[in-house]
Amino acid sequence: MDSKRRTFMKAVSAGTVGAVAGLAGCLGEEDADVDDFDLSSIEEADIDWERHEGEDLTLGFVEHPFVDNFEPLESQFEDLTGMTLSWDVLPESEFRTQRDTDVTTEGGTWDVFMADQVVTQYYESDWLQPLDGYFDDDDLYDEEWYETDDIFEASIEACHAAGTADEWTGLPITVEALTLFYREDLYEEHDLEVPETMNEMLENIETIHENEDMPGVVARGERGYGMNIFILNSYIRSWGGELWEEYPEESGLDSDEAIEAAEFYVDMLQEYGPGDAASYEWSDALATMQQGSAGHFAVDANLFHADLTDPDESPVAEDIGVAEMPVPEGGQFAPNAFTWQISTQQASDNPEAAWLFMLFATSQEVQEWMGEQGAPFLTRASAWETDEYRDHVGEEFADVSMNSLEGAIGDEFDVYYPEWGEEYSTELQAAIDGSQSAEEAMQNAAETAEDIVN
Amino acid sequence: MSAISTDRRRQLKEVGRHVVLFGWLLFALFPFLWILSMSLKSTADALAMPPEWIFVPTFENYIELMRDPEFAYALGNSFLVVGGSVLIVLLIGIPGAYAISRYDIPAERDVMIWILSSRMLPPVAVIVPFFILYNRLGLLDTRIGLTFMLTTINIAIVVWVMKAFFDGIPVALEEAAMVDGATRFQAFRKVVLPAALPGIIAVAIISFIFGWIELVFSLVLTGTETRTAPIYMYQFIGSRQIDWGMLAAASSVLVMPIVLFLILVNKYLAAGLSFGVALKE
Amino acid sequence: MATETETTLGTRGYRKRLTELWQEYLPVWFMLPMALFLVVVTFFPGAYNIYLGLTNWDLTNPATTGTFIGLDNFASAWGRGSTWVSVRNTFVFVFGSLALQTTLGFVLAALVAGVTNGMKTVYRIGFILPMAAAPVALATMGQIMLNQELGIIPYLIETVLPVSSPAFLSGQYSLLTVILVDTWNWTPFMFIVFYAGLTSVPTDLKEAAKVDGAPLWRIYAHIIIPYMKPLIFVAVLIRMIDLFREFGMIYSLTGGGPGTSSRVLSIQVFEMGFIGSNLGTAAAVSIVYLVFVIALCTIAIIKVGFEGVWD
Repeated sequence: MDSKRRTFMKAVSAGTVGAVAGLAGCLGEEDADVDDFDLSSIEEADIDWERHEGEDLTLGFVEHPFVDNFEPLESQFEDLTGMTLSWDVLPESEFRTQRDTDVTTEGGTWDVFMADQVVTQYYESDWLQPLDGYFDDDDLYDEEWYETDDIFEASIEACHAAGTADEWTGLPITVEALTLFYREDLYEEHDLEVPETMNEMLENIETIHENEDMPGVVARGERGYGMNIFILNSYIRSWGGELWEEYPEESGLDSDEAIEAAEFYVDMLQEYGPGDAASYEWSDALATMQQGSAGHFAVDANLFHADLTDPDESPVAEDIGVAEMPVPEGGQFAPNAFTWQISTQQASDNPEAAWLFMLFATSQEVQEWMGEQGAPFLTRASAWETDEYRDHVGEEFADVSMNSLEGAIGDEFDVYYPEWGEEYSTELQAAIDGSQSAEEAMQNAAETAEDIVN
Repeated sequence: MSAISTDRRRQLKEVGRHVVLFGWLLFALFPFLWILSMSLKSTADALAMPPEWIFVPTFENYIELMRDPEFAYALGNSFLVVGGSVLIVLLIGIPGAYAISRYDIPAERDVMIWILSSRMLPPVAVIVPFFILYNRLGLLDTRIGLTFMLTTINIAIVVWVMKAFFDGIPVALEEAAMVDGATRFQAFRKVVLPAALPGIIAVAIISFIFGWIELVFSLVLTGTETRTAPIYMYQFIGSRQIDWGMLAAASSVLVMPIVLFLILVNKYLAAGLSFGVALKE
Repeated sequence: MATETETTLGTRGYRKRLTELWQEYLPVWFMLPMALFLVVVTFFPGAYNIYLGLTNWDLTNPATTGTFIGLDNFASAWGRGSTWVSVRNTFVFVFGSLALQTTLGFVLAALVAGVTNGMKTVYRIGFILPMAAAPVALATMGQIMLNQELGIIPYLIETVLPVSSPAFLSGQYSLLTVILVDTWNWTPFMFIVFYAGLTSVPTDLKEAAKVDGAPLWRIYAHIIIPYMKPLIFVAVLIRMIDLFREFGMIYSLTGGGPGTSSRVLSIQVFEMGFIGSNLGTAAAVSIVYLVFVIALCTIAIIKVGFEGVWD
């Protein structure tokens, strides 16, 4: 492996990759594993990998574990294609600011970038490059090798403008589904059963809240279109509600089911959550859970499991249990799922080269290899099923995750989602904070959402 | 009242003064000390509650930082860009302030307010026009582009402070020099500038601080080549985990240059920000 | 160079002419770079914002983007109730912080100025340091330090004081928290400027008053503060403008929430432009905002008396 050259490249290019690997804290280990990665099956695919030799791709990525996990494979990609990669890695909210500026002004700085709730808006505005043309090009795509069927249904849908388009808007790099985390040791101590219904969960939360010196539950309370409502939407669907019963007239946010779900969520956090629950981002909830200062994390992305069970990060790592999201009486199992896809923009100088990167990064080989490193966000069912992976992450987590991913119902993001989602999440946050009732919040949210969409 | 009790009262007052000041010192420094202590703890201990007041420090986070070439690169970049912008803002701001101070400028008040207005809008309100302009001119992700942008945030402060400072320097000083045969420019360079040195140092350090911590412009206008140190720090705020230890270590290192500067120039800072009041008769 | 004669044409004469031009129009040359620079950085974004403000720049509606719609953006920006909440929050934030920072800065400066031992330098440097905290680090760290379960600050309050700690980041306190964090961060600016001013008050002025037996407060009210008026005014003005443009710290600390409890106008502009993708309304709010702040400054300067500030 040409590691000297790469170190030098990193020193001169200002990508953040080196630091990211450093952050993972186990450079040596990961470097050794790269030798296990077998390029041959990718090379054998009927794809003209070397078509853009010598070119450089700029990648706009969120500071997501995918980046850490992919980093060791960078040299493999460079060997395969002869291209080089420049990474632009930022935390989510800053990433969004820069992406919106770049994409909406058709700046074209990023050849490949991660797309989320904005995917429909970008697609409808013709900023995104649809990928169907590449799928149809025999020199650039080989279905026998790539196997789209292997990707989780929820992710494929997400990659079609969040289920609103017939064209591919991106390829999925990571997927996460909502699961419940709880403290096994406290369950044992208080003789609790893993909850299957929402009411059972609430009783368990109450028991811990009243008997231990800690909040019974933490969950996302902070506003933001990817924050508290990502969780609440899942509760709403569990209660049998539906967002946009009729588009664009009826948002469904003020339906009986939605209000009931919101009341449950708000009451749960007010009664058994921390005093500043409304300001909780996932990071606060995660840190609180890691420090052993909360009984449940209800509910959040399954991939937090890796951090919750890492003894280097948490004194209660051994005691964390994971379960499927409970179902309310008479409701349905409907954990939300979120897929990060990578897309390329119309304004990119080299979308074709970007496509090659996207194929590589989402291939079975890469996903399986990441699985061997313990990556908890794989988008391909085959990668979840390998014995090595199940050994690594544990049977319990693998089963819960698989079931949740297969049963997941993702959000449909319309063009206006960021805008009305933000307003809706603000209303919800105000309710969690206690300055209005959950019912008022949902009614206001419905009114604003319908107003914005029209 | 006897002399002794007056003395005692004075002593008491002195003690009271130090109690208040020391209290504020603790308040001002506590967050830094806390962040420093977080940077010296392992990830699992960083957020432990109740806190561990006594712990064996680990320098892992700092070693990790130092081993990362990106960090040195980002720091170097920050120094270049921020230092460059301070030089430019002084080069264009000081003569401008001098001219406004010494000559009859039409609508002087409006000119001063216009200058101030360059600092009035939140960066988020002007970033889109600048992004489009930069993209057209090919200035995105260049050091020159960012240097220019950081100059804009400081020009108002430099002109306002220096104008006031020049107002405080008696015109007689220059006139005396000119009687001795100096040209106007020589009088400015050899007489006025040295007299204004404390002010120049003060605005330089203030501008440096404002540039050093600037974020929005740096975020949107830089790319992979020109990341500054505050943006480098962002990578520790991940989508799955915030690396508190590394974030704390990077924040601590980032404050260091400013602390050093402040210690070096603190005398001038005090004298230089007097807006010329000190020099008035 | 001034003694050169003009008998020969060519480079010498030419240079002399240049030198003359340089000296003669010195103020123009001095002003020119600054003026050009300012024209670029104020007129360009200003004009661009006016253009955006008058057209339909709702990126979620590409079909009509770029069409002229007059003042519709202004109407819709101010029509929605939540903008007024942001206006109110902005005022509370700006003037609350300003009052706190000015008072604290002055009191601290006066106290430090009277210190006679070596602690003076320690205080002076220690008090300025918070200015050096980068907003991201400050807000991200601040968030965890203020957290009810994990934060050191609530922990200390509950350990030291017999009261339970307020939930700093809840809607009830969020605006206050933002003000307090900003006060921690920027009182140093006021402190150092006031300190500079106080140390420059001529001693004989103070001595004369003391001899008259005037009480301390009277010395401050009638001698020191009037003497420092120009400096206080400029410091308050600059700080006020910076408070009006504050964004990063608040956005990272509370995101403007919970609900809209700490949402100030800069966050509103950001949300309209970047999350709502409506650059038109964002620009409309920015313009009104800019005009208002300029007006406020102008009135303040006229009231205080521009010439009076510097004589």
